[in-house]
Amino acid sequence: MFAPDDLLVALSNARVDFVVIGGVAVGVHGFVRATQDLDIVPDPSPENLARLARVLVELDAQPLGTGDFSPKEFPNDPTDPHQLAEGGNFRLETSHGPLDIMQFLAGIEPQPAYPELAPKALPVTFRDAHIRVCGLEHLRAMKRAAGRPQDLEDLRQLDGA
Amino acid sequence: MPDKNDEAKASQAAEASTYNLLMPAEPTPQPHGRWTPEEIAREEAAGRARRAQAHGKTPQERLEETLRLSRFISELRDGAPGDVRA
Repeated sequence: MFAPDDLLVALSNARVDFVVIGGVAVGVHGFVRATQDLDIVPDPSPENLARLARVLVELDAQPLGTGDFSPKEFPNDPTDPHQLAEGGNFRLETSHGPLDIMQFLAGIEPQPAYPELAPKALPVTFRDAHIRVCGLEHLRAMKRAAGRPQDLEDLRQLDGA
Repeated sequence: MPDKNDEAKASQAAEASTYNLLMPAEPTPQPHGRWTPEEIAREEAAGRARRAQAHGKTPQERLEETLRLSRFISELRDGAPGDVRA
């Protein structure tokens, strides 16, 4: 089952710094809809990635979409801070449901994305946790770059909002 | 002597009978095909109303609503016996 609220709280309790993007951000900016995963952009500092790696172990995070590899054989291990630091994107299944860790984002310049997104992010309090949600202009830029039907619908709704 | 339950049942039956008289004997087939311009206009108006409603809330309320809705949809999906898209 997908429990995005528990996932957010677990990340926050582990003192992981991140910016929320994707469907949850779309909801915060005015188009409230269900989403199937939680997308975050973590602060790439080594200390933060170490905290993220630790909580991913607690959440039993396993990579999805590994092709011919079994999750154990998959070369990108998100529970290894050094591999996280390589800057890749990880699509994971956790004990609270799907979690996407995004570090390279189409539509956002310069890369890595976090230093660009964080200063313009919207602070939101949720269950005593301080969450940062990417700014509307960045969200629009990501949606334009992705260009899938859901992204275009999100853009239409956000533009009409 | 009829008790109160009998009276209630009789009243319900009378109500149902009146209601049923107003019902057509057969369902009326509805037109199939593309949405009419009126339906599209109604849908867009509803969308505008929903957006306005969402904007009347705080970012925190919208975050909570998005998370609650996502969790609810996930629970529904998990409870579906088969492919919900079927």
